Amino acid sequence: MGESGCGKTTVGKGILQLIPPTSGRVVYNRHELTQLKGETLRSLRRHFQIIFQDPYASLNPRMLVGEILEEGMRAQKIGGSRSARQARVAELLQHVGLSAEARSRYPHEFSGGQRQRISIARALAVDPEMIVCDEPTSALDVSVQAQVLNLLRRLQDELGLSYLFITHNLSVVEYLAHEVAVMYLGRIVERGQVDEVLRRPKHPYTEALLSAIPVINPRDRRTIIQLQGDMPSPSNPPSGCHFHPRCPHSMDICRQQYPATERFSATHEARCHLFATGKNPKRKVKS
Amino acid sequence: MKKIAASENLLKVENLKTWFDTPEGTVRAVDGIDFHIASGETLALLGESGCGKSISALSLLQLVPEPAGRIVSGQAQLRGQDVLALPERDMRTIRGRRMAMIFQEPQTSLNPVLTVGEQISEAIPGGDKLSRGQKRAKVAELLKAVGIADAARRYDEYPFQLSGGMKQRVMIAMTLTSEPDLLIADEPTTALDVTIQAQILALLRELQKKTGMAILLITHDLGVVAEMADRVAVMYAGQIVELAPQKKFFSSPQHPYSQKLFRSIPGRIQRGNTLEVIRGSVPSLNQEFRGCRFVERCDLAWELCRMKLPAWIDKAGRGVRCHLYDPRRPSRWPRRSHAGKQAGPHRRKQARLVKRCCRCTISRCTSRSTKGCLSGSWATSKRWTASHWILHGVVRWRWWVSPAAARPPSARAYSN
Repeated sequence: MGESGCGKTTVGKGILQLIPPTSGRVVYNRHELTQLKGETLRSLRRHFQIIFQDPYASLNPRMLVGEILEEGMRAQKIGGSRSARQARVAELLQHVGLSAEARSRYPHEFSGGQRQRISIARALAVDPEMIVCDEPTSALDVSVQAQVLNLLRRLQDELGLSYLFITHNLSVVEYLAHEVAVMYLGRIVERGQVDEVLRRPKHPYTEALLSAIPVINPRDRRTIIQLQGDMPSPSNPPSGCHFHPRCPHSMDICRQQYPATERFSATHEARCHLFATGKNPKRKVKS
Repeated sequence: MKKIAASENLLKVENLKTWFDTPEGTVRAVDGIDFHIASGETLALLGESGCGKSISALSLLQLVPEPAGRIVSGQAQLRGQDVLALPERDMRTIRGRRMAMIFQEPQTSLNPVLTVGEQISEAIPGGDKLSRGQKRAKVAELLKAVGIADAARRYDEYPFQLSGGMKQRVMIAMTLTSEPDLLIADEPTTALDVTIQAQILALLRELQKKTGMAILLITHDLGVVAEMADRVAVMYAGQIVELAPQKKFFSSPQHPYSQKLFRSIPGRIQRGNTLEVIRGSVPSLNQEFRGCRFVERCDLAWELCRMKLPAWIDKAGRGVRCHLYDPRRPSRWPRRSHAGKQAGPHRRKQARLVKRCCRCTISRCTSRSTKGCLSGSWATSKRWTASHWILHGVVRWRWWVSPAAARPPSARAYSN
């Protein structure tokens, strides 16, 4: 999770090799994806799929829903004969809660939530192991969002899928995620189990982000930590810790050096100078 | 006397209807809404996309796209003056002066070829008479008021040089040029990130405190409503279905739609469980409704909801448009839709009862149709009254303590 422009979507696309990474490795089953090209990469692509944010822009308006779902299978040369593929399409549509006759209709005939279901069916068509969900519910109304989240959760239970769920919506994270990583200006600043990060945030940015999210239950209300200014441009990031110009606890060292990883438990870690060994300046700063 | 009444209500909207003529028929986007706003108050208009929130706001400013859209009826009294009846020339003294509006997407609502300073100074009333230096000073002051640092430099910048949050601040600065009585904020933070959203909401609250303006906040985000609003009006399919003070609304939403809305929000508590959803979809608005607009999606709906438009029921400062809250309904009808509570005494006796129709097992059921009681039926005993009907092949039950008349008077006419 993170704000717009922090690089969430780029991470998702980088993993799928839709954007060539500048450096680094993406390893899947001992295949290093960044080194692969052409046919080898394409055949591995069926294992990871993506669902995009805007269901209105991510379905080809000139293709029938059936063609949209079949396209991936044809490209991957799976699904067997034509009739077998069509049977699979009908099965997929039912799986995501649409009727089988939807295949002979065009995307514009469906509502936003239904289109997102079609996107999900398209991703499922090639039997993936992982799906990158790039804000799949942020264009939807609350009541429709609930339907799509239910569907994603059910599919995970039934098919054992892994999701890389990109979102800025806290309640969706709380509902669906097992682990969460918070990004700021191109880097993960904090990660851990969902309860660790959301209930006991360590990084000042995570704290500010969580406090800024409007809450419905008055008992959950917390004082908002107002961050000054906007996120700086990633083309010219600030020196040291990227967050220091907006950080309420910034120290001299924050301007000079990017902080090392500090571990709080086996799963919970953050990158912040406040927690460097032997120091506990946070309390001092607050007073 | 008259003056007191006027100061209580800054804006009073009555029976506002805005319809659109389309090839598919007349779309009743806004179909009879009533509300009022007092000075210094924030009223949130909450609803899903397509429910008519934005069109209501545009109607108040007479900005409905013509000729497709037209304000069919209604009044909007701004301090006793009906702004809907004003001709365009007079409207110009109101629009942007006494009622100002900020929009969802600051990107598209600023003119990309004018500098920020030019756009703001354009909006200053009587700005033509000011010298360039005076305008600059005034704009700098406004930019400072909305929390833009380095105001002098920003004057000469173009919108593309500003971030989303900055642009929204510029929009707010434009509305402040004439100190409006009412600020209509149409999803002011939907396009912004949460930390920026927190800044903008704090700014709006601060400005409201300073100037005493009223805010009509249009949003679909329950969180924003909780942070900002004094009162909440929930819109569904062109009508306000519930209107209540914020605290009461959040502690006990009344309309089944509001209740469902709360229950469909994901969160930590629901983790691992299926979220409640509102089944079906919003009805298309190019029809004339004979019953409640929410009936197809409502778990508590019964026959009456299909047959009769629910009236607006006003009680203790909050109102709701639902048959459930009609004082004329039977005293205990109906319970919440929990399966356990739903099964009344008839369910328990079920085994002993004789079947009268295909799926009905009530002892004195008036329907004998073998194909099922399509329109519902009634059965009564001394203590209990029950109704059931079959909808989409599912039997739905309601039961309640029999009132004196055994049947609710309004329902009697419709049974069988």
